[in-house]
Amino acid sequence: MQEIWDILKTLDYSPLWISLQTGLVATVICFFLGIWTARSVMHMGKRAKAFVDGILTLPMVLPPTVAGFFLLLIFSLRRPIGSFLYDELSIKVVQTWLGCVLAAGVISFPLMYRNARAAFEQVDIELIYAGRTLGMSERAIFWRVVLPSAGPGVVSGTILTFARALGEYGATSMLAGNIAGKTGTISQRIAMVIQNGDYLTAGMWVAIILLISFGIVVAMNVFADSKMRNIKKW
Amino acid sequence: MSLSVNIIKRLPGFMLNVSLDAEAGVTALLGASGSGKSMTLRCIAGVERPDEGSIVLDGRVLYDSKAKIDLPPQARKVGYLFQRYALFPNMTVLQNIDAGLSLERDVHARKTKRENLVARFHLQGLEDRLPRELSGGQMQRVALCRMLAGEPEAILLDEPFAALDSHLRWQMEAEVKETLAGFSGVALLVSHDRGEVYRMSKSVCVLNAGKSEPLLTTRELFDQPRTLQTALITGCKNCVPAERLSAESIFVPVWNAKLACAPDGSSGMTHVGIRAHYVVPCEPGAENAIRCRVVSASDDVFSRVLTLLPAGGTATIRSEVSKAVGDTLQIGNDAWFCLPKEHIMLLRETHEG
Amino acid sequence: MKKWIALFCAVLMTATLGACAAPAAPEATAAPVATEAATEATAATPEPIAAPLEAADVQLFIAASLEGAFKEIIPLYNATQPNVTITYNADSSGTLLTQVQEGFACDIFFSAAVSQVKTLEEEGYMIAGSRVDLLANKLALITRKGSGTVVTGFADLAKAKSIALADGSVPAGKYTRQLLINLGVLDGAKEAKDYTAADVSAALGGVEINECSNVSKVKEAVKEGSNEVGTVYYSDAYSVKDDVDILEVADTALTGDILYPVCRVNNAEATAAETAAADDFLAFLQTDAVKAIFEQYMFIINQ
Repeated sequence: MQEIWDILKTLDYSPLWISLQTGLVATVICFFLGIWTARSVMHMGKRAKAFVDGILTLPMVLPPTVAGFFLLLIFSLRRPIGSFLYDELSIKVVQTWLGCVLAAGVISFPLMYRNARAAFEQVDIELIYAGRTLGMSERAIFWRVVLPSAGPGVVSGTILTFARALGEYGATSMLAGNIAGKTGTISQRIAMVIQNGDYLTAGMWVAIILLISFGIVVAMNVFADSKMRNIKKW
Repeated sequence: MSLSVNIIKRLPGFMLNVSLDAEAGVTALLGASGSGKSMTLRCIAGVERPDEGSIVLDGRVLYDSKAKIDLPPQARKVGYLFQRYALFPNMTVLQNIDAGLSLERDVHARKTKRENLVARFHLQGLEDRLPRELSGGQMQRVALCRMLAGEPEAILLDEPFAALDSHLRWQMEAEVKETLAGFSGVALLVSHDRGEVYRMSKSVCVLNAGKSEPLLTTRELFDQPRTLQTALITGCKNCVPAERLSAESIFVPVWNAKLACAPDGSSGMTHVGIRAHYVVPCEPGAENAIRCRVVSASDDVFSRVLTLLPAGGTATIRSEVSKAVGDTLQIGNDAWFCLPKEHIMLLRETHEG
Repeated sequence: MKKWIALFCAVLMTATLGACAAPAAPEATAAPVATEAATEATAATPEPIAAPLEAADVQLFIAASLEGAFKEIIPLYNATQPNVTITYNADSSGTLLTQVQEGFACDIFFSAAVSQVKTLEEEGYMIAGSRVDLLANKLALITRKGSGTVVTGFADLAKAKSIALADGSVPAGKYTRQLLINLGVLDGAKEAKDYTAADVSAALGGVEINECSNVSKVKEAVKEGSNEVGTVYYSDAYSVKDDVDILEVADTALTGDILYPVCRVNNAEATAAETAAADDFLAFLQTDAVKAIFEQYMFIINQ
């Protein structure tokens, strides 16, 4: 017990802040991007839709380390896109916290996109027709009719996205590295510490990340329940 | 005030071909399920697009395939009452009505209009309820209120009473009728219920597997449907093939009966029809009297429905009489029934190309 | 709905601001510029500079297994060089190599095997002549404390009830097989890594072999008593030293050299101060005080 307390007192908590920031920022970005993409894909023709959908779901199918490797090839300072970003726009993705967010975002994006799309496709089309005939703008219809109607799916997508972004390891490690204090996330910390045999510290970190994820997921559920009063239970 | 619709839309299984000029007041679109009535409404509202044609409301072109005009629904000022009302489930009654006032920018005017609407549709006390907390009748009132909030120039009602309990229907019909009376524009009412059509509208356009028939007044529709399909849609149960013998007489093979009919110079008659409640017992020597055997009898709420087999005939005639009269006839009895000449409808079967 | 979006955006902004705050590099308060000669002295082992260097941020890439030791080494360095920040990236040697090849800014590369440093040298990433084979490791035969095994060393391995062995593609597994070849237990007809667990088992007279995909699993298996003995790196025994006994440490003549080299890497982004600090740190790593720390973590100093 005393051992645990000693560890907690002397622990370097930077992975906690880095993981939290990464998780939250990546989730916010995926939320808007996923919804916008889902909406756009819905309007595409059949073949284009299937093709684009396949590409957007790809990050989930690939092992995260492979996905991270691909991201590295894109954003590496030695490669065209990465060097353009760095030389012209002073944006460095590799070896930075931005890389953490990008890796976590890319990996968890399919979760938000798929859930949002499924939710949108389930919305009663007469509600949309009604909005149009009443003179509501398309934007008003989307935010005030479609999104609340698609609520459960969108919330579920957001929760899954956050959970995945928080726990992301393989792609982050490849793209952003495991730089203590800068890009070292909780997951990378746990992996390293386990490899070096310090199970107690690993256990602490696991407990911390479990508490956070659990807390945030519960909070999201409570929020969702309070907003979606028209959901029937069956 | 007029709505002129001339559209064609190719759908799986049939082609929608509607030509309709409706004046102010209630015009019904009557047709069997799947005949394209709702699709027509949706094209007029602008939420679906026809393949070709034009839709003009009070001189304003809403859609014209040749001129490449296709106004978005938001710009058409056409109100739509959906069959299941389509109230926004996450919004209160007040918010739903407010959605109907989307085009009113002035906040103050909006508030005033809203209050007037709530009063006019007797929605006081319900403002903060959600749709799922409302009864069917209340939902319809909210839907109507919301639709009229935007002061549309035409309104479309898609089977407005289909979702209501029958005892409520009567009351809602009266309310809707009163509302429509206060509306000066064109109202199109879609229904497959002849009673509704008869009670609510003054002219009717029949849709037969996608093709619209010429506009008739309600009276004309029921008294002289002219086509077999229209007669069937209006609920005529006794429609059978017939041959013309002369200008004033016809022969119905399946009933083995020669009948006198009103003088009708038109040609092309293929069928004859008579409504069940016009078939009544009579004296043997009366005009158009047929000897029949009562094959079966069943009770409706206020009448008795008899199935009669004419002597020498192969098809039955359906007769609807009062219960008192019905009590005098037993199954297996023979009796004389009369098909009054003035109620015999000469029908033409239209063939779809 | 809009309220919650605003909340999300607020969180986003806070998080971004928080993350943008760079780790505080202590500002040099009128620090005297190093007047000592550059560390690349002609002497075999350069000495670290005594006077405080200018503020600089050194990028250090280390194999994950070295992380524990460096957490003590870095504060020790900062005791005499408070203005230099050592930022370290700890991962598997293969990942680190890929990252350097893809342009990550790196000053010092310290890997757990020779092949990565060799690649850096061949591809021109390494600063010529800067390689130091600082640490070594040896293969160790371990058993759980109190297991009552009759095995005393590699020579009588066949007497074990069961053996935990890393598979041939993992370096530890390869070294073990090489050792067995050199002892004559395996016939040497094929390359060390090509011998399957079945081959090894047969060669040892049918002893049960538990083939593990990495060294950590071997360590676990022995520590938990699932297998009577197992072969791991000597430094791996550090984390389980309370639970296992080391039966024998293999001579490198039998396994081949297991080296942990460190080198300086070309860093185009490095300032002059950073380069000087990196050179200094590398020199520091070769001092006795640091070597003592490594030995505490059961790494063997390469003589």
